[in-house]
Amino acid sequence: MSFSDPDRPLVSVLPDFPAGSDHELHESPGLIEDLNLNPLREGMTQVSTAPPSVMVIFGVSGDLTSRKLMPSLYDLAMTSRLAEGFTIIGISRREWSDEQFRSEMRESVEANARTPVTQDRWESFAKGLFYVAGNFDDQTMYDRLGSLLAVVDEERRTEGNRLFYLATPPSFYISIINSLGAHDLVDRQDFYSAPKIGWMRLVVEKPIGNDLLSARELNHAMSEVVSESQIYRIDHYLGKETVQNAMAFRFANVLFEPVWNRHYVDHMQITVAESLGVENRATYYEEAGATRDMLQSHMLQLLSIVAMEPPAVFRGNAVRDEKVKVLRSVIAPGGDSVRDLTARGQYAAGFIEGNAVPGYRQEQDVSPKSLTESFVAMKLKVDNWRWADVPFYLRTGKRLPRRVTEIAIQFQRVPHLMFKAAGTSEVEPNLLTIRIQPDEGISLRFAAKIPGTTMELRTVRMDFAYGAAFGSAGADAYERLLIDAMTGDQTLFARRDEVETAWNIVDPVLSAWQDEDVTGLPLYEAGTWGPDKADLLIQRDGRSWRRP
Amino acid sequence: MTIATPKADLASTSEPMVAEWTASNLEVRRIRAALDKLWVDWADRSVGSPAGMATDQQDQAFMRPSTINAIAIADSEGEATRLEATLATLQEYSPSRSIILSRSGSGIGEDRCSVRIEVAERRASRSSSPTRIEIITLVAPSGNDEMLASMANALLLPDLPDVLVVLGEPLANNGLVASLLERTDGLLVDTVSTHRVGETLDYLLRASQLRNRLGVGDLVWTRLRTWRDLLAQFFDQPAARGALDRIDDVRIVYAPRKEDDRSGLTAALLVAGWLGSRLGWRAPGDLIPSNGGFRLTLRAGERGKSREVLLSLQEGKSNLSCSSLESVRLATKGGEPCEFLVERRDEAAITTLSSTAEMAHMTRLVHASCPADGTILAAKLRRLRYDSVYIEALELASVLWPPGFES
Repeated sequence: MSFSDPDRPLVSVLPDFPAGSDHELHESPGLIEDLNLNPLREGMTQVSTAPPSVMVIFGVSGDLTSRKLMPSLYDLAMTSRLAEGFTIIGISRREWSDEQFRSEMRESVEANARTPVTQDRWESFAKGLFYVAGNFDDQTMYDRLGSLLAVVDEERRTEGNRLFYLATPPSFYISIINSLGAHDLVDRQDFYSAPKIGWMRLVVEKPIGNDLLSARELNHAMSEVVSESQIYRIDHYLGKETVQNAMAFRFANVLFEPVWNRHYVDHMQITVAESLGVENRATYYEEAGATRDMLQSHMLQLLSIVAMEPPAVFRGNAVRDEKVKVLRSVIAPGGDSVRDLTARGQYAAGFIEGNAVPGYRQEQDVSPKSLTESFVAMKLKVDNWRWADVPFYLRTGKRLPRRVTEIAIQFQRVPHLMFKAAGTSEVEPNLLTIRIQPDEGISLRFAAKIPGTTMELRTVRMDFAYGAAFGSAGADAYERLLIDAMTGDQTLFARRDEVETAWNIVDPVLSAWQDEDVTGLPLYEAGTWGPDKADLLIQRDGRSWRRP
Repeated sequence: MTIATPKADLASTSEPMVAEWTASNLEVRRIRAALDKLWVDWADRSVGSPAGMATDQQDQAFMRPSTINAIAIADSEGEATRLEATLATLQEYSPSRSIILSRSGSGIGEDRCSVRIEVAERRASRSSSPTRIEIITLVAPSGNDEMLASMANALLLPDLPDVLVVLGEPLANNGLVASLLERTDGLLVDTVSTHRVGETLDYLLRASQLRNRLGVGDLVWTRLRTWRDLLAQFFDQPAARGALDRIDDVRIVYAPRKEDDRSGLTAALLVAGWLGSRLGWRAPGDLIPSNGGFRLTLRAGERGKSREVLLSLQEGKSNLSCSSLESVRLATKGGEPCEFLVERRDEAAITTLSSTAEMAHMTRLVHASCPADGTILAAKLRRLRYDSVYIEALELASVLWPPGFES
């Protein structure tokens, strides 16, 4: 082919990108080309609005749909964040008619949505609700789904845009994805292949696998049917305002980034504490435990956000590239080091907020001989230029004294204390705390002079309360993530390599534990901050856990 | 000086505290001292409050999130009261300090000045942290514009954006507005009650060009946000987008002027300006008054191949409190038929309808209550900056309005 070859593809057939936007090349299809094509949209970038589409929810009779998905979708519809023909098709084994499905969903919405339900509002929303009954491995069900999608595209103008949401137990994921592919209900779309009719995306809930091998298997199965740019792995922590604010705090303020490194930071502590017990999730939790349930997903997400390098833009792969780089730099405990660098435990009976609560093994659906950990603490190192020798201490557990999620950045002590002669022999090092929930905000601990004639110092805390500055609570995490999935923004969703790298950190620990003699899995009394071994883990380094 | 504790509203963490006095002149030092005393009294009263400067929490100095200074002008006691009430009930986003300036002095001697200071803590919900609010109302006899402006300047909290809020009129030829505009970062108005439509729109346009594009905002434009969003949504669908080039009939029905003097006229003008500026429509002249409304034939498309677009602004009959639009209908008269309609159904809901030759007829209802002034003001204060889409809509609206015609 020569340059004069008339059949030679021209560069200009590709969409134009602004200079320096290589990051966009493998973003989700349907995102860039839709921008700015509607002249009436100019200047409206602050609030996302989903394009016309159908959301197909597998496992629609489950708890997630009734508590989160359907109320969020109703709130989005009522505030006109969804296009006029937006449609939901629910799928589950229950033999419901469309009307029964609508009636069930109305109850969920009435119980959990922010916007009050009235008859006319509900009727307007319910016009877009349809139901398909069937087992997820029943191939005829997919035929019925395909027929319904064709009708909906025609009658509700959804233009072939489809969001398949897997709100089922993970064991069904592969079967559903393969069936969708086999019935041509999804097709592979990426930057270089124009969609046949509309965009097609797949949303999956955590857990993505229960170890590295199973995560790879699931990711591989998905990649056989759709491209990575069509897969949205939800971690609802990333939809929280305060998690996103952690990025704003780091990268929109010049004050903190210069000290955000090994030269100034002594260590970090990430705490995700729950006062609740296993509640009604025992069947899942018995298999998962605290490490799989919280640490592998939410906590490593928090670590990657707080430790990553500044992305070039706040956009899909630019952010996710940096998060993956951090996770790849993590030195995970393995083999013999697991004993010293991790601690696990299981809650025994105790008191929470003045109420007696049972131990884990006394909970409903939990084996009386269960060896599942309800608490895990871990010391990680991020072996890169910025964080060399700075330990990251992570802990999470159930039945701890209070519900709190926070990231605490402990700075180093001052190199020389000039106030000794004046009576102050020691001052606490600065501490920056990013509170994710509750009491969302940021606080900074620093030394101040006590008023008086002597140069005596003490520690004070400056507190920025998110609610006091902005009043409104902001959007629910699911509302934010659903809109992002519909508009094709993957920034707040985990990428394949992110998930697999996180499993790579956790797997050696889980393997080492499996090989251990666990007859003596440490117990901790409900209402305390975990087993003694967790204290030893950090005290060995001359540090101690915060009491948030 | 008297210190009072008026009845608390539901959002207050406890009752607001007020100091007020009259004097022959205004003194910044005295106002500052009174303000400080109110907060000391507040702290004494609210020991244990999570946001109070509680003496039992000696290791914790709370950092107050400071937002903006608002300087508001009210030229009647009624306006001042309305402003105080609105500013005091802002929940989502409120100025850290509001200074209300009034030149009427009604109810006191013509040569006397008066000061009223109110401090309060409010929380938007039970779970949110409280926000501190300070409202200082200064009343001086007319002819003291420079003095009032300099008082406001001396009382501003440092390092915060300063926004001038003028909810009444006139804007043009107003010495106090002119003095303050030089010192502020933004101008926020509410043209819902304006009678001097042409003069006001022209003034806002000129103000937007001051000091390298000043942030200028109109609460009427903010109230239109849902309308603009719903209209834009019709054309998110690629299949419907082509209809934008065929629209030749635009009918906007706006709320009539009511007893409170508010009407949807400027909302109708701005939405017409927005549609025209975004879609490249040109106005060959001014709107022509016609049957309780206005009409004009615009030109759309490239010169030489242009088409006519009939624009109609019609006063409605509804008695809804929204004082904005009643409906916007975009349609084609000739060729392939299409219709896109957004219509307020009641105080709480808007319905939409769309239909084209290729696409199925579709209707829906969205929750859209008539927002309170406080909600709108808070939304605008949160994001007041130069908005080129608004300014372009304002430009066309200003061109459309017949010169010398007052509503």
